[in-house]
Order: sequence, then C-alpha cells, then structure tokens
Amino acid sequence: MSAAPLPVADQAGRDRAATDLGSNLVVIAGAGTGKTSLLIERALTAIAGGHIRIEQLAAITFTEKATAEMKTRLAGSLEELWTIAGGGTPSAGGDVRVARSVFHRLADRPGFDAQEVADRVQEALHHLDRVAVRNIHGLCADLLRAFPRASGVDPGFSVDPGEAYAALLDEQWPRFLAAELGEEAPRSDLWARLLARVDLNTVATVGRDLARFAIPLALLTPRSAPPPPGELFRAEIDQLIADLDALLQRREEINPGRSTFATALEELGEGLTLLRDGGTAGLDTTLAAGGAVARRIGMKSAPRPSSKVASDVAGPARRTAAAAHELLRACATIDEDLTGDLLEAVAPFARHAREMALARGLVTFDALLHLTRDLLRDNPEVRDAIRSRYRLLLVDEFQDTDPVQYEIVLFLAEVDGGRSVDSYRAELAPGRLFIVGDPKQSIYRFRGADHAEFERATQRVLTAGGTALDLVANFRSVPGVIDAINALFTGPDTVWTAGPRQPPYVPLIGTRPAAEGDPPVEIWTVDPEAARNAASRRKAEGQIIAAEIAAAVAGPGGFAYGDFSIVFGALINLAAYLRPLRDLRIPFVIEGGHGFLQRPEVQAFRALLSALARPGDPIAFLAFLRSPAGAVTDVELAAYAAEHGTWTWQEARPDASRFPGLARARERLARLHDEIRSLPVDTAVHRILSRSDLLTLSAGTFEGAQGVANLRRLAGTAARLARDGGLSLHQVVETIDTGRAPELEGEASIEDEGRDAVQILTIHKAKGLENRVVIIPDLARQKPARRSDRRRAATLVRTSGHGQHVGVQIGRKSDHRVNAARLWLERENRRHEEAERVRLLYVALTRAADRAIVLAAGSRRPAPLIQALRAWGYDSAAPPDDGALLAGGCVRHRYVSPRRLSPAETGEPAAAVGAAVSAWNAAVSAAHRQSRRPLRSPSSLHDEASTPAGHHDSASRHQDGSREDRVQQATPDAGALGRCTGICVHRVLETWDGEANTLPMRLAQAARQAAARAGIDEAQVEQEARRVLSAFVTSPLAERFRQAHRVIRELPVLAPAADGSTWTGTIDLLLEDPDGNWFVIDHKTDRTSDPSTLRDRHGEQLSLYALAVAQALGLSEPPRAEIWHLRSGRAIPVDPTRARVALPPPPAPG
Amino acid sequence: GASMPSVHSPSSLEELGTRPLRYFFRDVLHVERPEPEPGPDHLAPRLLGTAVHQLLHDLYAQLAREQAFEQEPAALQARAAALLQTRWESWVAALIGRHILRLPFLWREEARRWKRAISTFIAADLATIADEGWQPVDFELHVQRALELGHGTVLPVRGIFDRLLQQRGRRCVGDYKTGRADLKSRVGVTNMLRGIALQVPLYRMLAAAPGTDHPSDEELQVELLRIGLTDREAGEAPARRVLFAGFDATAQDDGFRETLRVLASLLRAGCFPLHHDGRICDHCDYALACRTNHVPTREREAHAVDGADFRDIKAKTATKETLLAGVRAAAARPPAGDEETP
Repeated sequence: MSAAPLPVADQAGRDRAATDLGSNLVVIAGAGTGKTSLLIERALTAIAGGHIRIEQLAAITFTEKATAEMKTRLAGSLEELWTIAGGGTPSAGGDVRVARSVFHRLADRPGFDAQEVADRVQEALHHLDRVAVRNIHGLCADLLRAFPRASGVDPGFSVDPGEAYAALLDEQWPRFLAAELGEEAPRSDLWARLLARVDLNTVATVGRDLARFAIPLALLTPRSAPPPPGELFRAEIDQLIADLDALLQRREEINPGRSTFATALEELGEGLTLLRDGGTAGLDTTLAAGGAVARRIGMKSAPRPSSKVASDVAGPARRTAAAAHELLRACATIDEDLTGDLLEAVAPFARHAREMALARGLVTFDALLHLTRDLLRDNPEVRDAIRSRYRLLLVDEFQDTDPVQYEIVLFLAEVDGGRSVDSYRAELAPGRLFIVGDPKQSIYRFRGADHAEFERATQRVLTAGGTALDLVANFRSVPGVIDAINALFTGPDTVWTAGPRQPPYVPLIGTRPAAEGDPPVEIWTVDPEAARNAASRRKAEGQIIAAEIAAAVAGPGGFAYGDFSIVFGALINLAAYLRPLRDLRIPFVIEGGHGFLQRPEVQAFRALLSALARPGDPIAFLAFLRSPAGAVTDVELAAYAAEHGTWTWQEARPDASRFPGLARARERLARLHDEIRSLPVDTAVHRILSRSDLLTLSAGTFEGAQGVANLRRLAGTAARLARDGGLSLHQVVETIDTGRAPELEGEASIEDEGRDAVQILTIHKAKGLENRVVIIPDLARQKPARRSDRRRAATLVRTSGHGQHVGVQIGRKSDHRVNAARLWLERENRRHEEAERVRLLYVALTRAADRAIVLAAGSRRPAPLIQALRAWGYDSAAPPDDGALLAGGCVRHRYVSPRRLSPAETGEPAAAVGAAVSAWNAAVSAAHRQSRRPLRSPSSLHDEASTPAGHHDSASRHQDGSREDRVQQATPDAGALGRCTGICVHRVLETWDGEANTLPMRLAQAARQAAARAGIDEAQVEQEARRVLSAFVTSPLAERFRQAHRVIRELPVLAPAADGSTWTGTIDLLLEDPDGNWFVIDHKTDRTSDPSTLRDRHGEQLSLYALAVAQALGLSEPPRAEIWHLRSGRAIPVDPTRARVALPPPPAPG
Repeated sequence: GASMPSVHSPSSLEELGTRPLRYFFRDVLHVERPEPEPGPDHLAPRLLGTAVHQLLHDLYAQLAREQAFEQEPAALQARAAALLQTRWESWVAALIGRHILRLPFLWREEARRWKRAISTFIAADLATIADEGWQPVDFELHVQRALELGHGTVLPVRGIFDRLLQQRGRRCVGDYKTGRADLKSRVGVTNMLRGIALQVPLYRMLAAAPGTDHPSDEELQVELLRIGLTDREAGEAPARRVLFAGFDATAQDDGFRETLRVLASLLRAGCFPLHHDGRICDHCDYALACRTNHVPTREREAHAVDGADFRDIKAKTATKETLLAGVRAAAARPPAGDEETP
C-alpha cells in the first residue's frame, strides 16, 4: 500500500474537517482547495467509522451538476475504500486519494478492525440509493412529500419551474378583476384612488410578483407600516450632513469669487435635514411649496465646485454634493401612499393564487423553500422526525444560497427536542452540521445570496459551539498564478476592502510545483490605435485572442482547443469575439447566455412549431416559409402577395406552377400537421424535428454539431413541457416564445463531451470549473452587466434592523415611483454589486490552472475592473512597457495589436494557401476542359471559337471582367484592374437611377468591394471606373437609358441549347424605347473601341441572349441587340440572326 | 410582380425608414397578425384613439358650422362644453359601453378620466386658438400629392390632416395624438433626417401650395396635440403641443429630401434591409420571420451596395451631416475615442 499524501499548509484544518465528527464546522474553502474532496472525506469517515449509516447523511449541493458529481464521487470513494479495507488493490482513479486518506486515519485509531470497516462500507454501497444528496430544492421536495399534511401540500404535488403557475395567474386575474371591479366593487374607494394614478397593467404586474411564495404571507396583511426613510437611511443622511457641514466650514476655499456652490450645499443640507426629521412627508411638503430647496432637488445635475477650487478640496466637495443630491432625488420618488394602495389592492389576489396553486398540487421553486421553512418552524414534531433521520448534514456553497436556506439548515441542525421558532436562536447539535463555503466567491446576489445573511448564519453556528476552519492550500493553479492573485487582492493598492459587504481576503497557498519560464499571468494592453472605441477594442481583443489560441494549439506546448476558456462578466457583445474564432476555424462552445432562442437553427424550428401550433397565425406561416425548412424566396412571396394570396396555410392554395416553392412548403406543412394530429404532444415534437430536415441542414453548416445539439435541446424541452406541464403544443410554443422555460439558456451541451473546443462562458458558469488557460476579455467595459432582481415590481426586502417589507417599484426609469423599502434595496444592491464585481475577478482568475490572461486597454478614465489591476502596478493612463514585469515579477505586461498579426493569424489566406487554391482552380479548369459541362456560359463562346478543342474556361482570358465570378477564379495578373473596373461599373449601373450626380455615391463602395475581392488598390479601381462612367453619362447611351419606357436589369437567362446542354448567364439590360422596341444590351468596358473586335469578342454572347429572350417570350424574331461600349459611349449593333449557336424554337402557343 | 403600394402614408414611410424588412412584411406582403380579442380589462389603444379623433372631429366641425369660433372665447368654451356631453355619448361612451357590462366599476372610472382629459384638452386648445386668432378651414382633410424630391424622384404621399387652421395668410395643420408617444421626438430634425420621424415634415410638404415646395416659416406650420391621461404620469409633464414650422436651414431641407429619395430608391429596388436594433426586435411581431440573427445574412447586408445609402442616413445629424456626402466624409475621418461612458 502506498504512503499517505504529503501534508499541505492547512493540513491540520483538513484533518479536523475530515475527522472531528463531534463538532459543527464552518469551513471557509478558498478556490481550488479541494472542498468537494473534503466533503466526501468527512462523509466517508463518518460512514466507515460507524458514526452514521449512509441513509443518515444529507448533503446539500448548489446545482444539479454538483449533485451528480458528488453522488458519483461518493460512490467511487466508497468502492475504493471497500477495496482498500478488504486488502485489494484500488484503481488509479481520482477517488483513491480520498479513500486512502480515510483508511489511514481510521487505521490509526485504537481497536481498528479493517473487516469491520469493509463491512460498513459494503452496507453503505448496498444502500447507496438511500443517501440524500440533493440540491436544496430536491431536499425540500423530499421533506414536503414526507409531511404533506403538516406542510399543506398535495402529496402528489409536482415541482413547477414556473410555467404552470404563470398559467394559473393568467387564469385567475380576470376573475379577481371581475370580483373587484364589477358592479359590486367592494373596495371602490381604494380602486378609484389607485386607477387615478396607475394603469391596470401596472397593477397586474405587481399582483403577479406579489403572488410569488418568496414574499411571506404575513407581509400581505394587514397593511404594514412602512419603515420611515429618515430611519432607513439614517446613517447615510447623518454622514452626508456632517460632510456638508465640514465643507461649509471651509466656505472660503470652496466658494471662491462669485460661486454659488456653498449656497447649493446649504440647500442640500436643508433637504437632508427635512428628510431625516420629517421623512418623505416633510420632503414632499417642501417640494410642493417650491423654493430654493425644491428647485435644487428638481435639478438633474448635482452642483459642482468652481474650477478655481483646489483639487484636493474640489474632489471631496463634488462627491459629497453628488451623493447628497442623488439621495434627495431618489427619496423624492418615494410614494408610500400609492405603493401601499397597490399592495393592499392586489394582496387578496396573491393570497388566493397561492392557495389555488397548492390545491392543484403546483409547487414552485420559491414555494419549495418557503413551505419547507414554514414546515420546520411551525411543526417541532416534524423537526424531530427529520432530525432523527439525518444525523450529518453537509452543505456546500453556503455563501451563494438563499437566506431561507440558512433557516432550513439551522432548523435541521437543532438539538434533538429543540423547540425554537426562530432558527437563529436554535441550539445546534454538535457534529450535525458541516458547512463549506467561500464568501470570496459569493457572486449570486441577483439570485438572492446575501453576504450579510451568510455572516449572520455562520456566526450563529460559531456562537452555538461551532468552529471555523480556513482552507488555503490550492491544488489547482501553478504557484505563479496563485502569487499573482494574492498580489492583486492584498497589495497596497488593492480594491479588495473588507467590510459589511466584503469578507476579508485570505491568501491562497500553492501546492503545485513551480513552473519555469515566463510568468503565467499576463496583462495585455490592446493597441490604442486599434481600440479607439468599445466596438473596435472588442474586435481587436477577439482577433488577438483567436490568434493566440491558434498559435498555442499549433505550437509545441501540447495545448488543445479544449484547454482554453474565455470567461466574460456577461455574454453580451459576443459577436466581436466569435467572428475571429470562426475565421480561424477554431471550434468553440458557448455555455450560458440568453441567445439560445435567437440561434438561427432554433429560430427555424420555433417557426415550424409555431406554424403547426397556430395554423391561423399568418406570421408563423411566413416565418416557416422564410426559414430553411420552408425555403421560399422573398421574390416568390412578393409575387404571391401581389396575387392577393392568403397567409393562413390551411386556407392557402398556391398555384404550384407559378409558386412552386410556396406550394411545396405548404404541402409539407399540411402533411406534417396530419401526421402529428393524433400523437401525444411530446412525441409530436420529436416527430416534427425528425421530419423537418432541420437536423440535416444544421449539421451541414459551420458549427453544425452545436446546431444539432441546440435543436435536440429545444425538442427535449418542448417535449418536457408538454409531458410534465401537461401543455398543448400551442401552450408549449407560447411558453418557449415568452422565455418562460428557464432551461433554455445558453447553448446546448454537445453530446460528445470529449469534443475539443474552446469554452466561452460567463464567470458565473465558470464557477466550480477550471481550465489550463483562462482568458478574461472586455475588462475595459465600463458598465457592468446588471443581474439583480430589478425587473420585478414587487420583491421581498430584508432591511438591516428594520424588518422585512415588500419593496415596490412602478413605472419607467425616468418617472418611476418606489416605496422606501425598495429604494433601500436598490441602493443596497448597488453597493453589493460593487463588492461582488471584485469577487468576480477573483473567481475568474482562480479558474486558471496554468495560465491566465487579462485584456486591458489604456484609458484616462479606467473601467472599475481595470482600476483593480492597479494593485499589480498597472496604470491604465500610462501602461508599462511591453514585456515589463509587474507585481514583483509574477505578472508580465504585453502590448498587443491586431496590426501585428499576419494574414494567417487573422484568417486571411496566406501566400501558400493562395498558391494551393490557384493550383486547385487550375486543376478544376483542366477537368472542365475534358468534360462537357451541363451549364455553359455565353461569354465563353468567343474562347470556344478561338480554341476549337472544346469548351474552355475563359475566366482568365477576358479583359472586360463583366462578371464577379471571374475575379474570384482568376489569379492576380495585369488584367485584374480591367476586370475590377468592369465589375465596379456593372455594380453601379445595376441600380443607377439615371441621375449623373448619384453615380459617385455608389461608385466608392462598389470600387471598394471589387478591389477588396481582387486584392488590388481601390483608388485605382475607382479612378478607372470613374473615367469609364464619366464618358458614359454624358453620352447618348445614357440619354437613351433615361428616355427608356421600361428597363429590366440583371435579367437571369437559362436557355436549353439544341445540343442538350443549357446556357446560363445574365443580361445587363433589357430596354424598351419610347417607340416600343426592345433591345438586349450588354455593357462592356474593353479598352478597345473597335466595333469589329468587340463584335468578335461579344457578339455571340449577345446574340444568344437575344435568342433566349425571343424564345422565352415566344417572339417571332429576336429583339435588337447592342453592345454598349461605355468608354466611347457608342452602341455597337449585333445581328442575332448570324449567331453560330441555335436554340430550340419556342413552344407553340397553348 | 410585387404588390408595392402606389401611394404612401407617412406612417408607412416611417416604418420603411425605421424597419424596412417589417415594411416588406406588412405593406408589401400584407402579412399581419389579427388583433386578439381584448379581455374585459383591456381596450385597444387604436380603437380608443379612433373614437377620440372622431369625437374631436365631430365637435370641432359642429363648432365651425355654428361659426362659434367667431364668438367670444367664453361663449366658444361654453358651447364646446355643451357639445362634449352629446359627442361623448356618441363616440367614446359607445365604445367603452361594451366593456362596462363586464367590469362596470373599472370602465366607469376610465370613462370619467378620459372625459376629463378630453374636456381639459378642448378647453386649452380652444383658448390657444382664440389667443392666436386661428380660424378653422377644414377637418379630417384627405390630402394626396406627388412630392417632387429632386433628381427626378417623385413620391406619391397621402395623409389625413385632423384639422387645418388659418390666420392672416398663415396656415396650421393639426394632428391629434392619443398615445404615449414623445411628441418632441417627432419634431426632432435628426429623427427626420434619419427617416424615423417623417409625418410632420411630410404633412408640411403635403400642405404646401402646389409649386410652393419651400413655404416660409411664416406661412405654414404643423402642430401635434396630445390628448391623454397625463395624471398617471409622474415627473415632468409631457409636452401638450409641439410645433414644426419648417427646417432652420436649407441643408436640412435638402437632407430631408435626400432621405426621402433614399427611401424611394429602396422601394424602387425592392430592397428591404434588416434592422439590427435588439431593443426594437424584442417587441416586434415579426421577429421569428426575420433573419437578423443569421450571421451570414447580416454580413451580406452590412456590405450590400443596395442598402448602403439607407445605412448611411442613420448617421445623419441635424447640424453637420445633413447629407450623405457629409456622413461619408465624417466616416472617412479618424474616429475620436469614445469608449462607453459609465
């Protein structure tokens, strides 16, 4: 048997965490310190040591994924421990270390009996299915099901992710209105007051929010007294008044010359005093009366000191004035009467809706937590029963859980026979509770995590006899990464400041061997020339990141794409980063974000589902027709509309001969509709997908595997909604379209988890994960992504010291109104978010095992997260030299620029690739020469005539370049300018309106595009094209164009030839003159103006076009044909009847 | 073969200028989702707006027939107040009445508030008319005209003036607004040049005498008049009346005509570019039918020659870049640093 693992810096704490089963422990586990292993180790020690049986263990995890991981690891470790205890040879898996460690510890105990341990473990393995490893919602559901009567739920209740409850609210609201606003109107005064101030939609929004179980019923009745703003904001007001007074003491300094700044400060101080002493009523009276204070508060901008004030005084003065002004304006939006009326009006609806939900067996996630808390609080005998079952409670990620969970955990950990009704006063049974968390990684404020509540709960455990342990030994990152992280959050300039909203920073200690070479942490400053604004900076960052990944994967370091994670604060502005990855063909997968429903393949599938679910919805039908599954062109749709076609597919009967695409698509939809009619909805959804061809279509595109996975996920979710929620197809589509299916976030996991792809994810999604290289872009973003619960009109507010209240906000940002509790919450959220932003950087950096890169940008006004880099010695106003070492040598600074990247690094074809493409094209041309192509271009007729061997690819031989594809195929040569000029001129004339002065507007862009494709100087192209067009617009040809009765441009031609092949091409211009004569015209820009040469080159082509027109229109003779030589402004007639080629005669009429 | 409208309304042109693809769906393909049957607690704003318009038209026309505008202001106000009682019953009360059966208290309250709002509006409006000396010429005036936009472009446009007033050679076109629209943004020159706010300048062009494409400020103005439940709105009261008396500079006038020419060219070419503003897309009925999230489509459109002018009018400004040439010259200049601000 091998030796026990070497001790690490915090070994004593780890040992105690694993073995001290007689104490409640609070383990603060820094990032990468192996907390999951520790949880497993403690569980194994308790089970194998005979302290508990496996069914007496309850482990609460944060996510479903963590639940699965913990179950797997628990089973694996038990199996290894059983093997070791039985004298066998364990496998080499990751769980061996834990099992071995447990075994060593048990073996050191007096009276150790290996067989006894083996027997206990074997029994645990036999009863593994009884272990309660759950996320908090799963555990709550178990408890409620075990005690349905006491908890007031239906024993067969279903957990509702939200859609069923939303449907219930939709159903109940009209009934509520009928009772409240009908003839009886029992509360008419209240409603009259309310409707005079807000519309019914606002009332409904508040009603729906209030119906959530997250808001305690007790707060709904009776109308509770609001906390006075003067008290809620007392500390802030007092501080501001003191600061203003202090500033006014220095009146001479802050108020030089004729400045009125001091007066403004006095007005602000007066307003604050009114607020403190008289609350919002005092403030309202002052505002209504007008006067200086009211005017000051009414101003949108805060007063600022004069520029003559010394900067050391001006800064604090400006900040104090701004803070006072902001607080007063914010308090001016408080309207307790209105919000009180609102809550009173809708409270009966909220109560009734909850009762209805429980009666129907619907329990939402919110309800699971709150009903369980209520069950435990109100039923001591239930608590006893549950506690007798669960003797050891392990809780993971304690810092990010809902405060209600703290209450549940404390009740469950109470001593046997405990009867406390306040969880925070419950006596805790020693050894029953093991909490693991890291407040430094608390980043879920928007989901209700509250650092103050975390502190309160952990303090309660400690004061009730528990012990706190710090885990600091990091197993994940190389020492260089650890040193850099510690330097960032402990240095003199660090932005990490411990306080009520920020825990103290505890440095990590690396355990991995140090790597030689460059520091593994880098700051990249993007070239300011390439980052002049946010969009260009992001584009530059994207290009640099993609090039770095491509180089690393191609290099000798043994990196794979899957070794890279790009982590963002939020998945917005992603396009700039994805494009370079696509250009370099770097596979990637996006985890999280809200873009799932907007993915093209998902949108196509939604369109198909909508068309089937809502046959009478014309927009759903249109969406299907325009999707890849319908594949009908806009031209056909427009033609159909011109015939007054109907847009409901069950009524539409498009003529298949005139609208073939539409008829085909409609027929397909009808067949599919018939096919699924008798199927259950969940089966139907899968059938629709399999019949739609969308899987095949998606698989064939770039990122096809992702597209297929996304389609399958949508189908799976739709089927789940239909099956579990009992929804119709119509309701399923509604639920998905309105974003009420929470699992439809981010891209689907690709089934092949071993797929080598760069991970793109949010920092929140990255939590709990690690990767070899972590790249953190977009640090220069000024506005952080807001995630808090701000959209809700009504929400629970837990104030500090003033109890719980319902916070209400109504109206738009510019004219919203709130109650004081909500205002307090908003301001508190803002401060928490500032602290959380720093923690996000900690979480992001600690995901890196071997290397971390942060993308910064020079700025005089740095973004908050760039300011944080100051602790490394990084000054964004004057970034260090390229290659400079920062933070005592653990961070390297680099200047990076997309301009330094080679074409290969930006996805442009390199010379070698270009040569390969040319060789390939040459081979294709040679193959074409050997074959008779089914589609022939009339422009090749001249070459065929001069090269009798057969059909030549004439692409490289033409000088006029009248078609774009020629340039694409051609290799750069002396004729490139001529061809580009031809393309450019054609492009301009395609949409020319006959006005001379509109030509230059189109010319510049057309020249740019043509030149870009050929890789030549656009100025040359523009100059040459301008010369040609100038000659043309002043010529009689242009006048004929203007005088034309009708013109048709860029007319496609597809004509069967007599020999069985098919001619294809495009007529530049079909023109009808005022006398009714039709002309087939081809624009030419050849340098020669010799008519016979031009006829020789282009006459056959033009003749064929004329014959094709005659054939298509059934004319007895072809229309006139002319080459318009634009440089000379001359028309060169061509006689179509002399054409060498022949077309079959037109079909007989009828 | 597309069924392109032959005459255009200002609102459809605004749609074209704001969201061309949506214009294609609605005005070319004629695909529209039928309005859902409103619940008992909901009255379609469009129906209410129409009823209020009809009430005002009926009431003002009656005042004009009775030559009440020539009477003393107090008499005019009194007569209007009396007429409101009967016209209210005919138009708005009739509409709301259907809802009153199901939620009587709610709709009586709503009716009371709307009646008060209309009464307040009429009183203020008649006071303004009397103070400024306007006399009515016509109400619900249907106007159609082929607008000469220069460079040979002619755009047929039709509109309905809610009313036309005159006073010593001056004329004023009035339009009632019952929605929550921000009236100031509808007379913002930048919005006009960008093709977003076309109604007011188009009305002014429609009202101009034939052959008088550039009436002076003195001769012709357009006013937007707001009628709504402003008592529910907190903060600064929204503008009740905004005026547009023509562009301040010839360059703006030229820029506006150029913008209309660009829109006309879109119609001629059958070119309906995507609109990429996610804030609008979130509320667009046609989002599912639109390929704005298809990256190749967006890339293609971003570089398409056809839509270049349309893309560039979105960068026009009221002062410097009133014309496309100015926009393009500005784009060619090195950009100033404009990293997003906090």
